[in-house]
Amino acid sequence: MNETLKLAITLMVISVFSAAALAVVYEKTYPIIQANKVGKLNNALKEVLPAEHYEEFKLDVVNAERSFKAFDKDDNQTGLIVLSPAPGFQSVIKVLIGIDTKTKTVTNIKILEHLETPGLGSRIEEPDFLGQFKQQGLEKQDFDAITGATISSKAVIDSVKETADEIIKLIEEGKI
Amino acid sequence: MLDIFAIFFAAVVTENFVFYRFLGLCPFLAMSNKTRTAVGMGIAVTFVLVISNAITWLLQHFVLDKLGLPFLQYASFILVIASLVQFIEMYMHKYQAALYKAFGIYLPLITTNCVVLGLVLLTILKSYNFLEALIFAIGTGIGYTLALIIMSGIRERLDLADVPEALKGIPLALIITGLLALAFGGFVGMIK
Amino acid sequence: MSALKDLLNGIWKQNPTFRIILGMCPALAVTNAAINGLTMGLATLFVLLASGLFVSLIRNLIPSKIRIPCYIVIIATFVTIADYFLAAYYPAIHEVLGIYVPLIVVNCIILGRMEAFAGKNPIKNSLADAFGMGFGFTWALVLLGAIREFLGFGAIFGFKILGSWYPQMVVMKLPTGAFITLGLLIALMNIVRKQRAEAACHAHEGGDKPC
Repeated sequence: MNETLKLAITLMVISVFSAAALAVVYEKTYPIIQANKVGKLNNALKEVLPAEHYEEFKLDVVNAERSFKAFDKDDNQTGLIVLSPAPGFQSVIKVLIGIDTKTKTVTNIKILEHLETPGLGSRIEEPDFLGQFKQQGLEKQDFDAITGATISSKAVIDSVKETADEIIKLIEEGKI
Repeated sequence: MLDIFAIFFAAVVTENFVFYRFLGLCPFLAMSNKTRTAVGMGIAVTFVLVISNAITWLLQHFVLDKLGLPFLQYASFILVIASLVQFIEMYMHKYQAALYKAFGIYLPLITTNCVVLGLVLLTILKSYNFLEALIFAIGTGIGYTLALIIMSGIRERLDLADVPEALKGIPLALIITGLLALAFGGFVGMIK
Repeated sequence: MSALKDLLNGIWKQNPTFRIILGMCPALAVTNAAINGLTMGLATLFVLLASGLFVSLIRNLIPSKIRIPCYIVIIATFVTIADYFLAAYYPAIHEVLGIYVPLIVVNCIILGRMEAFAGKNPIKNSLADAFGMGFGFTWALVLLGAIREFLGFGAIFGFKILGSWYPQMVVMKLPTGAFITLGLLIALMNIVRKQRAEAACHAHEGGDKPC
């Protein structure tokens, strides 16, 4: 019994020190990590639809994983940004889509997250591809996919078209 | 129902832990030269995977999350895995001598097998529920065993071939794994 | 000086990646670009040094029966610290490395060195060994990453070297490229090692007696 007790105590002492050290490091880095996440999201929102401030809200639309309202400095709503999950080749591509409420067009899109094939599907992040969506209304139906990354790029295109359709419809119905 | 099948299929084929996620390579390269050892290792790994995933899932949801101790995740998970393997080995040694003779030697290697830690961490990252976690574990185990068996089949054949000295052993095994990864890559995208 | 010998050991003679063949998983997973390999190598080096220091410090206090779990707790602690450090100060790379950072916990190199060296040797030598192994691992990963990045993207460390005329070798960006490159590198190292051994042997024997 004595030996087992010694073993248990040794392990426990080490574990306690470990837990204490980790708790300290966690306390110190947690705020920075959170700030990084918020900063990353805010930067992304600004890229897609520049505005004074944003407000997250709940939108019960299939394609909208997260939704944000964009406001100018007079607190008028200028647009909406929707985070839409697009089923890609081998991952779920998170597309951030900005929509201007007044002109009812897609302002810009940004790929927030993806795990598509590096060098192939990952080309959906290229400016040439993304640039197609800048300031586009619903009339434009033809977008170019990327050679060698058909599934990834089509997933993004479909997602943008569907989401824009839904959101603009809701805007026209005055619902948002 | 379809979701569970997708998880299972992905774990076995399209997101195979060896060929897609680069996990479990050290024992994979070491244990895949004979089909008998391959099967033994595969079964032992599957067993550990399922039980580890079950325990760590419970640990995460009922202890770490409830008490707000995310920073203890890595340490506690690996301790669970190490202890589990230790217990299984002790139990088998005492009560299942025949089984121990067959699989016992693989057990200590499984603790540091990245497949196990990788699995339990991914399960939490993917926010699987308990059932999905179990299916994920079973699928991963089967996928790993599959990889081992395919590899050992090839390597047993290659034993009879004339291989340049420098390539013998690990280099050749790596190249074969690379080609297998290419083959398995063809399955990607099957499940939408 | 013995500590120096311990340090140099891990860099070439017993290089963990090319010789002892340990720590394969991160070596293949994160070497699609040189910077990723470098970061992973440095993170592993940190864990090796910190764990080696502590294990060597308390090596006489840990009962042999429980040494493995103790090593594991110590290693996991420093891996967690490294993980949070990267997440806080280098979030972009942290995202790229993903779960391979926590997988440093089961990187056989670390537990292997604790067991084989730090657990039985004084602090100075343990630190030297840890540094040598960590550095050996790092340069191996940087080499692997540089090759894959060069052939796959035409760049090294993000600096574009080959212009857009270069049709990128996609296979290098995929798992297959990693496996094959590492396999060929190890084969190459084997050839180099053999030639050096033969040269040394011939020089020693003097003449054409077979080695």
